[in-house]
Amino acid sequence: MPLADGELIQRITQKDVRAFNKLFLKYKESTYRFAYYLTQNRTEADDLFQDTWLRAVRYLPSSSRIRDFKAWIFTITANLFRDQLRKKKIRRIFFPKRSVAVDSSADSIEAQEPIVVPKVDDDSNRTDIKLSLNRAIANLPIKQRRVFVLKEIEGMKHSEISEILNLPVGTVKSLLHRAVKKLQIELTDFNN
Amino acid sequence: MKCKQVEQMLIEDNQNELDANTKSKFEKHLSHCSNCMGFKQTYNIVHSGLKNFETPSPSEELELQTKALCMEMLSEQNELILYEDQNDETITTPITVWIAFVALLVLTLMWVFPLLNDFIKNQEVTRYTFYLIMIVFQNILTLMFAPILLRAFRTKKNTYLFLMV
Repeated sequence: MPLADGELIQRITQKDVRAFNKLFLKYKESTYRFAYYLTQNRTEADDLFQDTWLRAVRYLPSSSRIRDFKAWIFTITANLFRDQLRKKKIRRIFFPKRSVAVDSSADSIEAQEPIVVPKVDDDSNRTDIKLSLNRAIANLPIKQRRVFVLKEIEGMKHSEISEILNLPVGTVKSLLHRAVKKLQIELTDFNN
Repeated sequence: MKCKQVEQMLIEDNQNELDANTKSKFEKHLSHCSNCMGFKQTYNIVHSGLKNFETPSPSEELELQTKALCMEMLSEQNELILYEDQNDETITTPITVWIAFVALLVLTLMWVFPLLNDFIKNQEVTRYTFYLIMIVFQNILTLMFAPILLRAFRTKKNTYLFLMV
């Protein structure tokens, strides 16, 4: 019988390596997926993923009462990403040329190596939808994208999202509504 | 029922838990409003599109590297926590720093107020106004960099402690 997250966390604090492996295996995909959709860039997603797990391990012993590990690790990812954005803003103020160069090089890598590739499909229309949807999600403002990814891709409830992002439930709903409205504009061709 | 309400209901978690009255109003609005129907259609397209997404996953190298770093941290963590607990008082701000801060604040206020007054009265850039601008500029720089420097200092110290244990 698979162990519950609470039990695994308890064992990790007692330096049980196998418990950590199990927890890592269980949540690595979702953590990476969230990191990728936030950053929209493989290199940055890699860094964010690693930083998230390191921070999680660092604070696991002092967070003995974690009710929902997935929500907890997503909170770490969201907070780290927010810190990254702040640092980027400061960097842009002091080194505008350098940050533009870094951003454009990251974009070019992304252009060569798109990560979310829709499955090979005979129906070209369906592939078009997937590609357009992928582009539309990437174009969402960051606040709306965070909520949209957590709700529609990770399948979380509004209350859980509100806890992760430290936002009122009403704001979560409003951000999700605006995100779908924006997607509606971007996917107009498929609506008709 | 307004369009915004209907659209909000479409994205609700508990759509199936609506009472009969609200549900009939909701369905009635939806059957007449092309706007809301379009919204619903988009939401359905998004749902069906997302189902077929091949989601990104971490590379094997990244997984191994992350795991190794986590293991390393786990193995050293207990000792580190003990060490940090014993040295809690090292994080408090020394009294000398507070004294220096208050002295600087008093000095700055003593300079700034007369100079600011002078500038408001005369409305021209003099040697004293230049001093005023310099003080303001210096304070802005201090305020911006002090937290960064403090944080860097503390992180460095923690890393050092971490390595020493």
